[in-house]
Amino acid sequence: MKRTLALILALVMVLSMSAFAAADGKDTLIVAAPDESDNLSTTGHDALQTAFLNVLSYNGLMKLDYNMNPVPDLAESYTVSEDGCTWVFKLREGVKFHNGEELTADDVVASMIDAQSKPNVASFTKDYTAVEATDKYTVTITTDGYNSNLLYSLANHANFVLPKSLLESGHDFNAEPCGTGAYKFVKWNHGDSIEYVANEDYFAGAPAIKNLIWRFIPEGTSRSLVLEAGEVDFVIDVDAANMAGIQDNPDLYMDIVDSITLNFLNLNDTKGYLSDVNVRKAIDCAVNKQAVVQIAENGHASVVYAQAPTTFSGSTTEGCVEGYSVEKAKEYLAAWGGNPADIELSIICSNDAKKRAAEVILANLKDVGINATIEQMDLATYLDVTARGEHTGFIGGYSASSMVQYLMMNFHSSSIGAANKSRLNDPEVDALIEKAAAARTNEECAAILEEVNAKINDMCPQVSLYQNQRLYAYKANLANVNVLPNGYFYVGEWYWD
Amino acid sequence: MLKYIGKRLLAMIPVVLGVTLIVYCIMSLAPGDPARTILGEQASVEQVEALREEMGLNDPIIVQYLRYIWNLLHGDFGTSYQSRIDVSTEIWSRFPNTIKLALVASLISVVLALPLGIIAAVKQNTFFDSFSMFIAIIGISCPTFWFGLILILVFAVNLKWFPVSGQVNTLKGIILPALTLGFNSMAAMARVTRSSMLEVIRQDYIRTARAKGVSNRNVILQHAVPNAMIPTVTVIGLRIGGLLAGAVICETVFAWPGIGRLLVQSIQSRNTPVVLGCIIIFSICFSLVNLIVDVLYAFIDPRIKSQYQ
Repeated sequence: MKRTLALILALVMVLSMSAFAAADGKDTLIVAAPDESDNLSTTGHDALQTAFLNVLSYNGLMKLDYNMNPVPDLAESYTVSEDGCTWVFKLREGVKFHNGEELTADDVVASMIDAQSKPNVASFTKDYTAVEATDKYTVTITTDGYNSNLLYSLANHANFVLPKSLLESGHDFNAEPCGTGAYKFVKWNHGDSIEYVANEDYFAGAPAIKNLIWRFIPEGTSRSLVLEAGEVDFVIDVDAANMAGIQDNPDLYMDIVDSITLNFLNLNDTKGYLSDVNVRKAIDCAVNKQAVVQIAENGHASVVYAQAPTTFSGSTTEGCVEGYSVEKAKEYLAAWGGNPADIELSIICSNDAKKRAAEVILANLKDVGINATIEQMDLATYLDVTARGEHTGFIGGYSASSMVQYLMMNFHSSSIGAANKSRLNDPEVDALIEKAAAARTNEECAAILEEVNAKINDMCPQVSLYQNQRLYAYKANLANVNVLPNGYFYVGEWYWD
Repeated sequence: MLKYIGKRLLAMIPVVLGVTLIVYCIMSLAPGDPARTILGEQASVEQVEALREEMGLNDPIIVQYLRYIWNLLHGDFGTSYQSRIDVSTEIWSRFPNTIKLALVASLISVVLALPLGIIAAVKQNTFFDSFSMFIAIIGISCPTFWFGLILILVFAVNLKWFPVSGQVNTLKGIILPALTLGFNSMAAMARVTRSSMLEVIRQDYIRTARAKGVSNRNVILQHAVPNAMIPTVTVIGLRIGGLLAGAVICETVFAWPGIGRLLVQSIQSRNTPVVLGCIIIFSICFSLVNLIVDVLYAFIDPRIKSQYQ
């Protein structure tokens, strides 16, 4: 018995010692992310979590600064012709891809032409009609008139630059990413992690942290616990329920970033009574958005009344419904003149947070006599049903880099069948969005956007709910960490204090 | 015996084929379009339709199924719709982790369950019996995710004895997930062992052994335990099969890169080739475990062995 006890104690001691010995060195950063990427290529997805990985290994002609403004990245400078149709980008010289080849204009041209053939990123490649190499370090991009959205699209992962030689050889960028970015891909341990090493030839200077391990930890509480246990250094999307433990720990830092993702109750404006603007406004008025935020996001979000994110210039509340008011909702229903019980609204939810939001909405709508229902679907079914326009409503969200991009994707008729799921089809709105995209100055663009936003607010194609906060946590001695409102961050700029 | 094993191995072929047919039909008839999931929200209806055509998704289900089986017979499990990686690569990069976790969890559950069950039966209606069954009830009642998180909080975050996750190839890395997974199985096995032992120790031959003056220890270990093992081995076999396929929650809590999570993600994204690949592996494993259990019966009970011959 004593021998057994001694053996057990010895085993426990050995295990504890080896656990302590596993403390990581300061040349490594371990990131915990919620989702494993399906596809590491730059053009085979439109997922934020994968975009984070693309940003590690690739660069575009432009990048977004911390105020979400596009600034030159691989481009050194750019000029626009008088008519706004010709954009000339001068490339940085001496930039090396991870395979040792030098970046030239041919690589940019090959990458952008390749991107235009990829449906997953269609909305980020339709801003330009042609791209050509004028000389070794000059790229000329042609657009249909001035397009202020082009620079944002060039900062998107869809238009990141890949080596032309690899594109032509049929290289599998999903299996082995190769760009000009701060970190070189080393290994993908499927289901577990991706390993990177610093690109010592990075044109913006070699990253201070030499090794990067990107781990996939899907469970929210586990993700916070690994940080508290010291096994990871940076956590993406902290579960709000675990915030307190992190905020109370002096060795950890909690970063709360207001995101640009607008979450909404989408209404299919072509279905039944939902085609009547008074019905849609009644629903908008009947929803207590503050309660939705509290229940769905534990209070970590800002209520939005406008139809587009409030973060961008050009946003306005003009034309919005007057906020939560059961009386006003009943007035709209009276103006419609039908029986609220006849309104068919089935709210599709594809995850728990959406379901919680839908439950609040359901209760609110009951107060005005609308008997909505909740339908739970997995992602595949939800995408299929909503893309076909077979839905009446769903809880969804959308993030874009600019107001023009947001409006183009959500309310322009050319996006029906894709991201315009309220199926708003208004030639005047289309024309105004196109006019805003063609505006030459920020002031002119903002004025047009305000006009179109007021118009869309008045049409109330869907019910905006909230812009949530992104919660990031990391070790307090990790320095120079900045997160953009779209969730992007540049690990190459970080260092250990 | 070898002939019997050979027959059983051959019988696995229709079992696996039947399972693939059922799963293929379910996946094909379920709502949700793989082409839309692959291309995302930005793709137009025409692009989605073109991809459906390219993938052969517009062909009749039976044609699609036969094409799949034909490729399978040539060793081609297909390509993942999402990652565009060979399904065999996707599965084999995770399957060893699943096997490792299931085996260690089974070992933990068997090592804990047998003594608990046996002691509970031998000391029926005593403190030991109540204590053993109390542990068993806790094991059955505790949700896996809750038990896993508690283990992480105590042994990883506070005591720092074990890592939370990320050390798939180390002993200390597997202990917490295996304990979480094995605890529930242990409870079921302990209860079956106890009831089986209670039945056996009331048999005449046990009474005879005692009357002949055989020590209590020998009566239990040599006469009662072997005869009580048939139901226990059956449950162990079923549980091992369940641990292989049902470790999703444990894999999620501990970020264990196993096949269970891959299967669930693939079902959600209508990634039929990966789903089928996983199901084929699971059905083969289940069949093999059942075969091993049947063979073990022969070693435990000579009467069954004679039937095999």
